[in-house]
Amino acid sequence: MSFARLHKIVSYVLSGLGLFALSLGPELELPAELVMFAAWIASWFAEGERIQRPGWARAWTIALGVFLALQVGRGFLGAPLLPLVLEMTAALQISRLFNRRTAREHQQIAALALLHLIASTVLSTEITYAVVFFGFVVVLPWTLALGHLRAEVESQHAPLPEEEREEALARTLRSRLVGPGFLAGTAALALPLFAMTATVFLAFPRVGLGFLSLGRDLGQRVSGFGADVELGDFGTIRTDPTVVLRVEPPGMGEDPPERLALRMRGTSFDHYDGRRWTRTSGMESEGVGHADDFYPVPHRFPRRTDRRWTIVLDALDEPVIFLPPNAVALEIPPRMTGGVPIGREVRVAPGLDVRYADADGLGLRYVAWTAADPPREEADPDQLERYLQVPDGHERVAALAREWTEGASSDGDRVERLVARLQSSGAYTYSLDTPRLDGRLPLEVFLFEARRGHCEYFSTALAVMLRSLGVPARNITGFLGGRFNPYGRYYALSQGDAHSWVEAWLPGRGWVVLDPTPAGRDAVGPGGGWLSTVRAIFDAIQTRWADDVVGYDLRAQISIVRELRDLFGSDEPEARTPEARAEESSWRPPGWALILLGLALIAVAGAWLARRRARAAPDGPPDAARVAIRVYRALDRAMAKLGHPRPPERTPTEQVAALETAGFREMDLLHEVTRRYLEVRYGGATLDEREGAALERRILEMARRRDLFPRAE
Amino acid sequence: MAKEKKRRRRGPPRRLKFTREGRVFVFVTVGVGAAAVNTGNNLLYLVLGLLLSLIVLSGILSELVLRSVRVGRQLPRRAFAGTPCLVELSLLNLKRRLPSYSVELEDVAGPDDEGGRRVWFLKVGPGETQLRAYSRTPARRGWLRLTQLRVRTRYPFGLFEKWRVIDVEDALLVFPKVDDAPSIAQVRAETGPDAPSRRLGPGAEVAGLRDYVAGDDARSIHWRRSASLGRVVVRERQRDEARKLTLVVDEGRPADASEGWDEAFEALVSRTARRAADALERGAAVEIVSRSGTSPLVLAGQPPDPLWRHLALLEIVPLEDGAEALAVRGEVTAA
Repeated sequence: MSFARLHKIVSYVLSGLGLFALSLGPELELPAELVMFAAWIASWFAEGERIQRPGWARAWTIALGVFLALQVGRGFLGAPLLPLVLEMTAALQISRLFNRRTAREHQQIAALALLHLIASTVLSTEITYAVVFFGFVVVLPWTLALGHLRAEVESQHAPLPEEEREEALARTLRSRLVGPGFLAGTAALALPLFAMTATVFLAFPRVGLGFLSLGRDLGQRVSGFGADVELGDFGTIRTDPTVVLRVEPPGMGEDPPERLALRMRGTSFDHYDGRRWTRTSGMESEGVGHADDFYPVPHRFPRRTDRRWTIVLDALDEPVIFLPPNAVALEIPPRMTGGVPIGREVRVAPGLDVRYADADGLGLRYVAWTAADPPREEADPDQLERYLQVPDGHERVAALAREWTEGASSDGDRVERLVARLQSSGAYTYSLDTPRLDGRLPLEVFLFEARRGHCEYFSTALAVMLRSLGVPARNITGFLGGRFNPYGRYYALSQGDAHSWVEAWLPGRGWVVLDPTPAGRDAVGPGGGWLSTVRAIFDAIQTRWADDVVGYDLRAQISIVRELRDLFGSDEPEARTPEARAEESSWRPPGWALILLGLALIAVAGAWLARRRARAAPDGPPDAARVAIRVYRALDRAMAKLGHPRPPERTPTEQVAALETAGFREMDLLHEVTRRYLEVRYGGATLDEREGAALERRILEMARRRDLFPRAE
Repeated sequence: MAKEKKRRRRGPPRRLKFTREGRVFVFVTVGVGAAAVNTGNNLLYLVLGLLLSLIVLSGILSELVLRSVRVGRQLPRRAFAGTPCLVELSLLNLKRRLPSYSVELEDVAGPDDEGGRRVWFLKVGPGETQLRAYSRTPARRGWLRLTQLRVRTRYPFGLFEKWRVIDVEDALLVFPKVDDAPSIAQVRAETGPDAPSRRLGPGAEVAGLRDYVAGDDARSIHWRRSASLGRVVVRERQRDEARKLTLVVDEGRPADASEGWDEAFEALVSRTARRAADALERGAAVEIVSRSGTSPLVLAGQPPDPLWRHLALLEIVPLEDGAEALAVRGEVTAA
């Protein structure tokens, strides 16, 4: 492949990666993206004489000016700034691609692509950014090296007459100057380049000052965790495989089951108006204090006997913290600002609605501590009262509740009967088909007509029926499920695992979890197969990316240093209690990161020592050169004695010529001494003491003669 | 000794300077670093790592280009002041597998050399030697010392220019500028390779006959004449002798010399070079006499290099008041 074609291809790959990086975020609208990529493809065919015409470049300059004016105008009209800037940079890139005549334009293409990569750091934190980044790691050295060679060729041929220059350039561009070996070699550089990048990434101190945070408020939209939820909204996403939560429950063991029914509680609703669940206004949330990374939510700080659940939560539009059953405490790493850990702002509202302040839109990694015997909750009559609210028009539902619980002796008995009727009597089935309401109340249609529905219908029916019987109950939204991801060793809970259930207050037992949804729900979830495997791999990579790269901070660095200390330290690590662990991050650096960091430190230390030694080494010529200098000085002295001193500005070679002109009769010795001196001094040859002494003897003998120069006539 | 070996293996120290693109690159890197530190955005740290790594990689690759190469210089056989001559520079890539891309050699003639004598090698394959020539116009006659070769590269990314200076000492004797005007009119018209002299000796012309004496070469016996005379006679011959031209150049500058004396002297040297060459061409043997000595006698038809060499090395000698003019014995022509 010719040099020109290869250069064109790598320039296009790099510019394509840059434009793709711009499109990672939602800032660019789809039409803009389509136009951008269409222009990128079209520019491939623009070459030859057409782009060499002066009018071509002028037309593009005018077009860019018009586009800039348009963007400024849109800005004044209130269009968001970021998309305008991104579109402008994309237009610049397209313009360069359409005008790639010389090395200069190719270098500009590379620079703009790099700018796009930098800009996209604030557009996306997804794994797709990693793909683009690694593409850059491979392609950028190619592009820069080829661009440099082309620039050098152009610059070296610049002094030639125009025709000759054009011909020489064309010849070079047509040549196979670089081949597969060059590409493979440069691509192989990606490995050390990546290793160095990783080392710099790991070692660079994370002391974010936070003066200009460009963190973005993005996240998956998940219904059911906001201020209200419409009956029918929640649960219809059962087939959506998008992972939301990753959970490492305690005691997973080496071979955990493929599926687990992990119940992760999100939020609760106390008020039902017949169609919609809401939280009663006035139930203000309260901030939660913390000690180190520990938050006593819902009950207390963790103890040695508590069990640890590691949870990775994707950024959601509602910053809800999901809790496993019997959770007693939370452990959340702080955000690092200016090198200082700033504790998370965690708030809890009545109904155990736990939320965090989402400043960076990056989701949350946290630990939930659970206890086998959590503290018993005290009943607050005022609080319980609101969980007895039943909307008007549900008399028939209440009657059905009474009918189903006829003869029950206690609230617990009533609860069991209602759950059994809904869940396992066979009269009601799980279905994602929402019954047609035609203006009627959803529960009326569900209980008496359709007799099918998804989890929200079941939980709402149970909650309303319990309330009609005087048992405080609240509707809970969260997730139920979990498919084991062997690549990341965690259980993934997807959007499709979103679930709704009920908590009922039973005297002496507190809030009890009741799930009336029939088992048929499990059959409706996302399917398995190879696509599921691919998704699992992708999600594991994405999670590592989010944890190890996007979420890497000063605490992680400290943690690496601690790991290294433990690695090289002789002391046995002490058993750590939860209290001791409070001092550590829950983040664990990957093994390769430790090795890389160690190698980098060793390399830096080695280079430092070598440099120090080199500086400490005495200056001056090596031993052989010292002998040669001594011999040559003896010759200088002898010639001075003979009346022909060597002027300081005269070199040894000049001295030879001068003495030859003067008719010196011992030219053989002169030549030999001068040659040996120059060879040793500058040519790297050696001259040992014996040879040096022999030459000195001959010089002394010569100096005794009186007939070395012709007599003046 | 080990230290010496190590130093030799690594070669002379490297020097580095930013190119324009390199300055921009470093500026962008610093900007990304500042943004990363400011925002704590890990993806910016990642980009920062990439940019810094490219800088390090650039240093390593440029080192590979400069390492294990041998450079050399081939001087022209003759060089004249004010006349362009070609100097050849060679680059041998001693590496077994890696080519050296984009290497520039700069020939340096001492610390006050303005430089600019460069050749460029786009690609020198492993084990390959390439030659490039550049044109140099020596400013004045005498020894031109070429002391160093700078091996320079901006490969791979053009961010930095790295070079090492290698001592390669050569001396080029620059002959004086040879005057363009022909000077043959000033040389006597007696031409011919072997003008006969009046002295006897080996030669082509017969001077006469004489009686044979013991020791005469049998080949010189004139057998026909000997037969007619009845005694043995031999031929006597005239010794062959070419015309000898001695040019006198007095490099002594009188104490009261005018301002333009040096310039006039150089013009004289230039004219002398021309006359010497013309005379040799016309069949005269030529030597040059100056205060510093006498040049070798160059026979007719021989190259004038020894004479030009003598002229090239003439150094102006300031004379004291009343110093005598240069005296030359024998047949001379003042230059």
